Amino acid sequence: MHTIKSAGKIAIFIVAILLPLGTLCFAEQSEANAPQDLFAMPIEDLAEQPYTVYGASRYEQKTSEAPAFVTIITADEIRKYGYKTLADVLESVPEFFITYDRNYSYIGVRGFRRPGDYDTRILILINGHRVNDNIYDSVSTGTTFPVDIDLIEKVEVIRGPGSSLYGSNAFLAVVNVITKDAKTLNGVEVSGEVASFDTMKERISYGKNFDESHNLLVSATSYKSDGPTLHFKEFDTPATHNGNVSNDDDKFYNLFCTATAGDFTFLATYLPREKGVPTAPYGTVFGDSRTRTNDDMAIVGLEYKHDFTDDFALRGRVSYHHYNYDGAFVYDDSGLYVNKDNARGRWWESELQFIAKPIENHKLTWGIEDRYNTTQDQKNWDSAVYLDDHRHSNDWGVYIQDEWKIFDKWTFVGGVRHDEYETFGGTTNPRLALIYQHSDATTLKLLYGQAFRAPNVYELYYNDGDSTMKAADSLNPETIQTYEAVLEQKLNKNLGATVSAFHYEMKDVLDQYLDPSDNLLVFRNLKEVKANGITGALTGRWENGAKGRASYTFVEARDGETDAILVDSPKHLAKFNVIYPVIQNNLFAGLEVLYTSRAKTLTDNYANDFWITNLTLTYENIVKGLELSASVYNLFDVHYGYPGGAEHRQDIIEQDGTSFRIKLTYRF
Amino acid sequence: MKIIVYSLMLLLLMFAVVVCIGDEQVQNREQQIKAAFLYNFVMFTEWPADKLAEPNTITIGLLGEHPFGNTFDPIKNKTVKNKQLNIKNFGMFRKSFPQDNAGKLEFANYIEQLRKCHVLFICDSEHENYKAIIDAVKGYGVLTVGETEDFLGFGGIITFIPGTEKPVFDINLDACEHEGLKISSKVLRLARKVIDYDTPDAVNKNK
Repeated sequence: MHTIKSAGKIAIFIVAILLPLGTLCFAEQSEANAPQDLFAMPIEDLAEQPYTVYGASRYEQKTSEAPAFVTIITADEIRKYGYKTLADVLESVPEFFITYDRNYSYIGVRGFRRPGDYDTRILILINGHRVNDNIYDSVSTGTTFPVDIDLIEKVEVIRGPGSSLYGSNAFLAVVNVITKDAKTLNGVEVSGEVASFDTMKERISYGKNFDESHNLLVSATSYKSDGPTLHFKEFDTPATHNGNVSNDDDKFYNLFCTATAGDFTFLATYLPREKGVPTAPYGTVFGDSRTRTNDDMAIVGLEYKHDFTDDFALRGRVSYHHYNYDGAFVYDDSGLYVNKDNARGRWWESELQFIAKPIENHKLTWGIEDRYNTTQDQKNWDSAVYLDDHRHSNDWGVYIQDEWKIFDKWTFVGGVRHDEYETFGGTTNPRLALIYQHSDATTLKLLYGQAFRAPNVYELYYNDGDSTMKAADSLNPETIQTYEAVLEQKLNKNLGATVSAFHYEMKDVLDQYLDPSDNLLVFRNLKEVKANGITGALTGRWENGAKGRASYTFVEARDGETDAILVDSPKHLAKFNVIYPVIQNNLFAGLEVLYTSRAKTLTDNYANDFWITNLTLTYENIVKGLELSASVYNLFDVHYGYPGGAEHRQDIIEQDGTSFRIKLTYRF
Repeated sequence: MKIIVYSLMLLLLMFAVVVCIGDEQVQNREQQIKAAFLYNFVMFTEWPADKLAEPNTITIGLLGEHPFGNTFDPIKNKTVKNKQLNIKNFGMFRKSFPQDNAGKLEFANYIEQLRKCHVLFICDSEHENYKAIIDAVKGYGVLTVGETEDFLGFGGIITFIPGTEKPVFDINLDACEHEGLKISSKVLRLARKVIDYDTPDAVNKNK
């Protein structure tokens, strides 16, 4: 697979997939001049059609009116493609790519991901509650993500800067995860799965609709995986078991509850995960199973939604968040010892939002949001204490946005948000969008936005007793400016196309710097990044229940100073997904083919490009309520790897070959 | 730099293609989805033989201030169940007619037209007339469809629940059977609730 040049593969991909689809569209176009695909859609799919999309403007709206390029992945697709984590979902989304270092999954968007960074530049929401923690700014989307994938109803991916509404972290994209409730999961559901590497997962859920406005869903999940035996050539010496290790174990459980009573919606979720770290990062002892990390996250939130009139609505959200990180790292420094690294985060998020239509053709949204960090503690110790840093802080922001329907077909969206941080002061970020809805089939969007990310307490204050890292103490937020043009076009009753071209510039990017005066690593506002890219995406739905999407992204992200291509920035991404009903209403085949071009590593080598194929067969209603699915991941056993972070001796971290999963779900 | 130029060219090209395709009115997504559901209800409902005996059309009636616009254009005059599909827009429900003989005749004719519908969509704007409308068509094999929570309480058959993110609807199986209609299990399965007053508890259904 690796011998063919990547350009050749891209060409093959385009010819093999996009062109036949393309010719299909244009062939059918002439007869279907009013593309009303809804009438042709199977009723089951029709029932899944969202009236609106929520995240792009903080209120519900139609996808074509959202001031962004939006992708929505539904629970149906999650099941039928056999996705195991949110990272798997996001990997299938145009312009997204993921990296896994055998501990955490990381997301890259539009050619940008910094090795060693914890996904700080993407804001993740669960039912509108922001999830990024208050120490590292991270939400890892692998097995640490605080909601079991089976409980996700849909994932809304909104690309581009969102700081004008959401503040910090809404830098490259906002991902809003909407969970199931008793309206979508009513009754008892039990699910069990077994997979390669001694992996087992069990779940039991119970949902009840008491009446129209009162419902409850509770769920519990348990997951455990022993993990494969891995070989790392960097450690291939007799002293280190010839590079073979088997401490890639992974374990979590999840308790989840959501309830609605009138205008109030309650959410509680708790997910602790324990992971063996097989890669021996930070110079730890290779193969010692005591090197492991524990991450546990809990969210308890309450949302209030009330529409006083058709023209005035109020939204209120308050939530309490808990995040614990406990890392244990085994070192051999004339005798084995365990170094412990801890973080404790506790914080309150609260928000009040108003939506009003004070005059005709204007829709105003304004609000105030506060994050009160009661605990932001970091600790590092073994025989001595190197770090014992206690912080608390308060950040807040105010925002306003106007959606102005200038003429029948033209809509202007202008928004601005001001944020105040105790650490660096204030920052103001605008967004402007002009949306031209030429017809029901055609929408053109011109978008400009600015976003920021505040330095977090890890970047500001972490040091390990000045042995390798020192605290920065004072940093500025990093900023991004994005220009984008999006064209959305329905091609015929089955197919829709989107083309998005974007340019962004980042300034003051926070990155680690080796201070020559004391040879210590420290975070600085260092880099500038410039990127240009374009994406073409097709989505299709057919009368027989088949549906699919295909996309290709080209992006060039360069260092603003040296003009070098960034590390871990694949230039080409191609994705092809199709669900095909093999037996109508019963047996579905979900096929996914993902291409990622080569990506530069920290040592200026390249991780090879790769094609990954995943196939899932889902048999619904074997008997009423019983569903069986079988998945093969990495069908052709392709060897591939992702660039490793600086903490790893491995320049490239190898990923799994072919693996399997069987899953049985019964609802009654 | 090159990529920007190419991107702009591609965008312009696509835009040019798009402008040529033609003009359609901007419509409300929710109404489009509901319209498609009405069409599906026609396909997945069996009417009594006498209701289908008459002329060669099958009619979806629309009552109230509905924002459907030209949403139904793509299926106008389409053939369903070997009959031509007819979309009939009644506008707002007419309550008062002149008290003379001509008025009475007009009223009878108006009600007759409503009763001839196979599917009758009643907008929430007709909320205060629910009882009058449903009573008027009761016993004539009309599949009444509403869009408020309480619609079924008035004897309506299907109602879309307002304020949901995607189409959610309840079905009143009693009223349905009373009209001699048979709704396919394909539709019943998708309903949030299928109310059957013969059994004590509302039977909750799920997707």
